[in-house]
Amino acid sequence: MQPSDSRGEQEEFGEVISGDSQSAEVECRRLYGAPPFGSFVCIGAGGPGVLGVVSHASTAPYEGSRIVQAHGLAPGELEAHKPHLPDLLRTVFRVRLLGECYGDEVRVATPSQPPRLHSFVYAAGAAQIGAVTASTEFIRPLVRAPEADTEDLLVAVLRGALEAQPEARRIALAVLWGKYLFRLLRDDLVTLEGVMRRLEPMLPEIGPQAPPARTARPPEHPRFERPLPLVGGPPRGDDPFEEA
Amino acid sequence: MSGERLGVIVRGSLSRGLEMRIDPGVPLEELRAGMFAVTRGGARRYLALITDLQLAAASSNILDAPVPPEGSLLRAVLEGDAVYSQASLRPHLVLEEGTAETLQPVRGIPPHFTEVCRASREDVEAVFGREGESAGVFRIGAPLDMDDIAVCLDLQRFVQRSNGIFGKSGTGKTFLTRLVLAGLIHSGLAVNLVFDMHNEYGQRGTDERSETGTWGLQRLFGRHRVEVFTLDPQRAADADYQIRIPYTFLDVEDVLGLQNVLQLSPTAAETVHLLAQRNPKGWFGELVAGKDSDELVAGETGAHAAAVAALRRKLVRLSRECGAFLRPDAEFAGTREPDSVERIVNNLRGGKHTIVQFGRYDQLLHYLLVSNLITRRIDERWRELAGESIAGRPGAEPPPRVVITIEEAHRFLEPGIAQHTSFGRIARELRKYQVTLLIVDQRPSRIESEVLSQLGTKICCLLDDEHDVQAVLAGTASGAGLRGVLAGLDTRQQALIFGDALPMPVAVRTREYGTELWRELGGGRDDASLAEEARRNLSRDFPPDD
Repeated sequence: MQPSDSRGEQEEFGEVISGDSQSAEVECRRLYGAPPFGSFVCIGAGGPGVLGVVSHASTAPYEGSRIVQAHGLAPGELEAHKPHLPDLLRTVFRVRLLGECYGDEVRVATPSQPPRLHSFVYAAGAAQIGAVTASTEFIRPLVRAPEADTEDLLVAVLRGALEAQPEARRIALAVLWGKYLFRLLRDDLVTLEGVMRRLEPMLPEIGPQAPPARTARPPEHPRFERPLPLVGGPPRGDDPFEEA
Repeated sequence: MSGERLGVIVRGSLSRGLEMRIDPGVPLEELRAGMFAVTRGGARRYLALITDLQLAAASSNILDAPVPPEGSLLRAVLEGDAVYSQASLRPHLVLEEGTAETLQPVRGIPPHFTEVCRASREDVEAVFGREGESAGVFRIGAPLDMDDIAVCLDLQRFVQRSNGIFGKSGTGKTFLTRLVLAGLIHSGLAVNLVFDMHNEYGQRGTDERSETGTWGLQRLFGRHRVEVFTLDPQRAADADYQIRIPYTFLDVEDVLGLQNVLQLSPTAAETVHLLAQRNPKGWFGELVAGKDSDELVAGETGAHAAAVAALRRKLVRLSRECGAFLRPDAEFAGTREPDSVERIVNNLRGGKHTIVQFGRYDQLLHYLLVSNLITRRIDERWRELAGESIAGRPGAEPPPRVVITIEEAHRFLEPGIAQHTSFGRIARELRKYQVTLLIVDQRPSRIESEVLSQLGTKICCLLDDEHDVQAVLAGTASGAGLRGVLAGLDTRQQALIFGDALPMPVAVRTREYGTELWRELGGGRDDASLAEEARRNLSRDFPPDD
């Protein structure tokens, strides 16, 4: 399958070898060629596709019965002495599915159909990432991914999500995601704290929360009681409280 | 029309009130117990009072975890959702949206997530009315943090029943009393008799924040409307009349009202009764003069000689300490000096407000004796006049409504004393006879609960003592909620007002006692009607034959 026109000459990462409604397993085109952990990928091109994030990657022999042994060779020497190894090994990665896409349009939800086997997998475009991360729903599948450490997956995904957003919006979005995450994690404050602490360096300085605009207050309350003039009193009809 | 949004209703019950989750953007420190809030969006608009403010957390784990540093992302995330603030609201009145606005008592609650806003000027004015809108509406102040909105007392309802002004020392009770009295005098709805223990209401009063003091009620309204009586001969020049009381005026009840001050035993009280049986008018003078021996008196009355001797010692002390105004009958014989107590009663019947000042005689003994004695006379006379009027005797008119102001009221209305004094009777039943009390006190918990329960409107400045707070709020439907409002008052110029004279409880910043008030009372106007009024006043103050 060739990449769609919109992807130009973009190279595919790999090909779907198994999948269900929640995740898909992708075999990499090249050994060790998995996209970065937490990066956004799109399965399929040129029509309806499925958007997800890389939540796990592994490299192992094609044959499950083959045992990999240590050779004691330095990097570079291994490839020279064992050139057949790449033919025996493969890298696969798991994609946690976030929603469906059609071009740059994204709908965050469980895909109506699992990704087709042998579909190619590409890096998601910036517009797609921006669209899928504009709200908070994409976070929910990440918290439930059993194949990855929740904190690390969240940090990796949210970093990518922040990078796809204009800098001016990053703080507001990070706070929005954080509040949603609090509701998802509830009592797991340690994870929330870890995620927020690790995201913080990507953000402009938040600084203390600016106090909201205060309503105008009277400059000073009127005197409780007015003093008397010092001595005597004004003639009747004059203001007795007027100070002499 | 409502003010800025404060939050949404999240919990509540009709009996315990509502809970509002405060929006994250609302500055919590600007909200206070006692502020007005109004619901928006439902079929009904509930007008409520903020009675408590709380800090809350969605999970207790948050509070156990280390505090995120100021300015951190985690802090921004937690604030408003994980940790938030909420307010307790007590709805007091409800308006049907889209109908002619009539305030109804609350019999239901708004649904979940009903928006709550700060009450607007229109909301508050719909409840408390505007000054000048109808007769007998007097602006007492403004709601807390809504300085440009008037809270008005309905004086017509205020004078129907006895009322109380409470607060610990230095919280402005005297100032508030002076303000309320000014409103009452101006309204003409009742005649006031003020027992002015510390000389605060006549010509001049003290202002704790200034060395010079402030003007009293006579200075504001003129001698033709307010007369000042004094017990102190040295202050007679500052007053209109000096009070002198002959021994014969003293009744058993007057002496029994001093039971605590004179430390009279039950035997002494019994002895007083026996003496009065023997000589109803002259018993006091006879005993104090000491013409007859204790044994002789005891023999004639059936009392014990030692009890007579003990009583005599105490009453001699009384006559000595009150000697400046309590005089032997002989001094009045053949003089044309008017009966000053009768003069006070006539003043009140004629609609003239009267202030009784105690001058240097401001000890409890003097205060209790004179207040009791004068009030007893009013009590008797008003019962008689009202009785005649009720019976439909030709020419009999109901007596004017009288409000008697007493300070240190618990001295008259303590359990065990209240039943011996006219004040206790007035507080309980004299409303029917057009006499009510304005009780000013700093220890409401020491006032008999039955008397407190009869008060129509309570104006409470800050109270610290738990018993006092409990006593003041006892029997109030929203007492628990108002407790927080009361505790949140400043020590000066703030009061919680609730009862008959207002549609709902309100915490107010009291208005200034100064030029503005004076002008509203008619001061400084120079139109023709006022000039005419001034001429009339002049002729009253200085009659042509003077």
